Amino acid sequence: MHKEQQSFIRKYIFSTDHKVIGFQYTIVGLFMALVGGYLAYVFRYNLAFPGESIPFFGDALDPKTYNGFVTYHGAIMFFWVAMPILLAGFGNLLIPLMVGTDDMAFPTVNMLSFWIFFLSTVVLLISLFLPSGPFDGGWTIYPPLSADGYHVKPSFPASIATGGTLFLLALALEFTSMIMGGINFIVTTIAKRTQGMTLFRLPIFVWFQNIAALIFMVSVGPVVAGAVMLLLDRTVGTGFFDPARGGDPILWQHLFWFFGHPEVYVILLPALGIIGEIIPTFSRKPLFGYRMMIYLVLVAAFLSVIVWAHHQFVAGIDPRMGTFFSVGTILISVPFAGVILSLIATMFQGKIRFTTAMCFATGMVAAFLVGGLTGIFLGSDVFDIYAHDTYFVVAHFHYTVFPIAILASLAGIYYWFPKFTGKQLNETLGKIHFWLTFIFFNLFAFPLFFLGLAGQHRRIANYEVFDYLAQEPFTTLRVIATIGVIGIWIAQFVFLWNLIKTLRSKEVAERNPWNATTLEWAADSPPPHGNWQTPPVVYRWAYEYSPENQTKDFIPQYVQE
Amino acid sequence: MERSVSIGRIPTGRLGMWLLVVGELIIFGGLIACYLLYRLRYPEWEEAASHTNMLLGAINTFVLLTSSYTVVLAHKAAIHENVSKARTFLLITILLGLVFLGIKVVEYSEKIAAGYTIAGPSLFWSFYYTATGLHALHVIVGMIALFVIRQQIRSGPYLHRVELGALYWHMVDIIWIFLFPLFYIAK
Amino acid sequence: MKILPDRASSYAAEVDSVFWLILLFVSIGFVITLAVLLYAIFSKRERAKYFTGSNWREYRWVAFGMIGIALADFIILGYELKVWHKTQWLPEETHYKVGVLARQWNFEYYYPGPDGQLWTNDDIIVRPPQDTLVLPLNKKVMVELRSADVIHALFIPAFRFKYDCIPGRTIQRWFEPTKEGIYMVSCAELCGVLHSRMRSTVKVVPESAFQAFLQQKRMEPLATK
Ligand SMILES: [Cu+2]
Ligand SMILES: [Cu+2]
Repeated sequence: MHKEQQSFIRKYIFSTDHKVIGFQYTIVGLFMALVGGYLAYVFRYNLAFPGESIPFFGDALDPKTYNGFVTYHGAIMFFWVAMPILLAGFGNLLIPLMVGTDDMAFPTVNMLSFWIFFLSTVVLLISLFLPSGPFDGGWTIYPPLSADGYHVKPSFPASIATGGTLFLLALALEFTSMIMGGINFIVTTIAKRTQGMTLFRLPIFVWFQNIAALIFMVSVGPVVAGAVMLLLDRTVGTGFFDPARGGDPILWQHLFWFFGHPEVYVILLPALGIIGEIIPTFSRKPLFGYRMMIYLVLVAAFLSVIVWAHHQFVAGIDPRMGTFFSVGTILISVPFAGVILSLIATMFQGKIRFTTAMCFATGMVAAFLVGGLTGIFLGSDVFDIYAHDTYFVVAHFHYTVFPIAILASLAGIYYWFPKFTGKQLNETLGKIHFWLTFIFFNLFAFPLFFLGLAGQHRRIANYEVFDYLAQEPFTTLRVIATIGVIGIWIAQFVFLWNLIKTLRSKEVAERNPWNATTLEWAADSPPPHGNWQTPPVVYRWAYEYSPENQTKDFIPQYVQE
Repeated sequence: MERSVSIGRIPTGRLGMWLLVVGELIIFGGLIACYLLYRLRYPEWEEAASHTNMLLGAINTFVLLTSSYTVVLAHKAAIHENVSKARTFLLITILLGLVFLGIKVVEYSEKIAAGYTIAGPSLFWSFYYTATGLHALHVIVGMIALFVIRQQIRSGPYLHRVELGALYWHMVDIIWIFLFPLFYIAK
Repeated sequence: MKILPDRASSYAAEVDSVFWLILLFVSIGFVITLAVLLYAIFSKRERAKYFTGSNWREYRWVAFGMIGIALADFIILGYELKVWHKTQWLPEETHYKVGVLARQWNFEYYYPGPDGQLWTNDDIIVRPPQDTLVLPLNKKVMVELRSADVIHALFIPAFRFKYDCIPGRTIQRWFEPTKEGIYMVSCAELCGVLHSRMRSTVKVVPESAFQAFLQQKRMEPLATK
């Protein structure tokens, strides 16, 4: 399957190679993480020291810019960081290798998906720098506010070049790209597995990626329709969500959250998949309860599409609906408890080695535990009425999304770096990176619980008019949280240093430095276009670590006994 | 590129197309669900709905159903590797699509002349234009796809793609089968 | 420092008890899981023990964990749904009605006029520069929430009360102030540029003072609607 030499452009820019495309997604994702992180730094600084000028930015934020920054921070971290890195990035890099094939089922479509995604990124960044200012209606884009309140909007066609319209357009493009990518994943997994790779021999990562792609496809459709309706509201003057003309703003909330809740699982599952590969490798133990884990995640996936209205308890929904959504939401804790406990059981009585990847994986499990458990508070409709739109919610979802998008991504990067670059990241710097990130993350996110419980509501540039919230101890708590954010930033410079140092060194990594069992470790590092000289054959499941009565402590999937 | 077949003997193209069709149906499903919710809430939309042109809608339904039949014939010809026959039926399908769009244009201009635009007077019209417009967009995409396939099969081993084009075309047809009663008949 | 702010409504204590109950179970779950995680880390050995969790004997510990959390879930739900019922359904009789009309970026308060109906021309209206919602002590008050433009939310932390004000609909909920005093009100739904400054005040006074307040407001010249 050797492919002939290609021009630079075909090889690195408009490439159809799944690994190059995976890199492209990851690099854009990492770049956008810098953008989203910078916005976070600016508005966190503004919150800690209201009214003071912000280093590396300028004057204190006015409320409008503040609203814009929190809006973009949320949207970027979800759709332009977590999605491209976890789903598209790792999925593209790993799925074909893990199922033992040469490339995705539709390489050209795959390339197209990336370029649509790239276009969406460009549109988003343009919308951030419009003279009329960025979109500032919140990442949930609730109308009528997101439809410019139905009274100040410019008329067609000037209405196209507004922040909100471009924001929605970027989102629609991003969704299109991810739907196409998801179809590619599913078809590749079903139809292109190599000889011997049965469904229950697939690594858990491949399973979770596919379930994530499936959830995404099922849940995103209605919000795409909703985005079209909202775009028309903004541009040509329809009134789908305008109450004055018979529209209903609550309809948008249903469409958005029918997608928005499952969306969290769309990024969670790839993250858990990464963790599920790393923990067995460094515990030298089979993944505990592999099949049960798949079934549990399928149950959770189903539940995830019927609980969306827990975001709307305060929107005056029928109390009986509240009961239904509360029960469904809280019960999601059961399958996820099974998954988390299985991951922990995988470590039990293992020969654990705390490499940087393993540190990040364990840290992810611990931090996500806080996020998952605090979800029960918000699943309870009674308490959610109080906690809704306070920093309790902010703390909760940062304890879920940060472990997912940052800790798990970094775990995966440290783990698969040798495979895709042929170089191994420095472990000492890696551990410094981990501990700084983990500690400062907690320093940032934990105080937010207390702020939220005190009744501090979200999306406020300056709390000076809100009585006790402008006093101690809340001012100090806000400063501590901001120090946490700055600390997270400093930690990433250690990572940057590590990256530069490693990429410039001449040391070459081994083909299978961690002694792992899955197929990707059978390929060259980095794997060439087409991946294999001869396609591998699979003889067993993915987690044959420390089998009894054997001297070796692992038997890869591709080795015949 | 040759047709890649999996160990399970599922052609990747067919599988991918099915997934795309499901994805599209969910998007339209969301739009139609919104429309139905509003429709149930506002009985007065009946009045607006009575201004849609049922005759033209029915003719269009007939045109699309016929085109679905001709695309099946194209697929059949492709299975028997009869390239010229397949190309003929594809051409007929595309032309029927064109007829459909032509009738749509007549319909739209009739409505706009009567003062019913996407922006009102009733939200019914917003839904009417959005749903049928989005559908018409899919008709256009389908026609382009069929046209490209028609070019490809003239020279080269792409006959299996006729099936994929046909699948997509059926989806376009099925969506219309939902839109027609909801916007034209229910009064 | 208090974890939750002062309570000033009849059901605030129950809402807080839901929080404490969940916190209890969640803390137990967290401590146990973290202990198991640490135990697993320190149970490491020279050669790993091979087990896959594919039979009941091995899997049961995880299953017990799931059953445990399911039980906790049901206890939480059993209790909190009772409170839910109490807070959501309007009580048999309410003594007073209050209307809240949110707009960018303040709250206006409406009391029924002589006709006893809200949202009619004879309503008594409190609008800026006055921004205080005066309420009677120990009386059940039915609140109707509306918005004139975008979505806002009336958030009274001391009452554990927060509902959206949505254009085109009216949301009806209730509360009963149980402590005299002045409490902060904020808008808890992003509503545009000055969301950051959208606030108001609640003042709970004895019923007689409340009546006097209404009387005095009635004397003021009628504001045009
Ligand atoms: Cu949710
Ligand atoms: Cu507001």
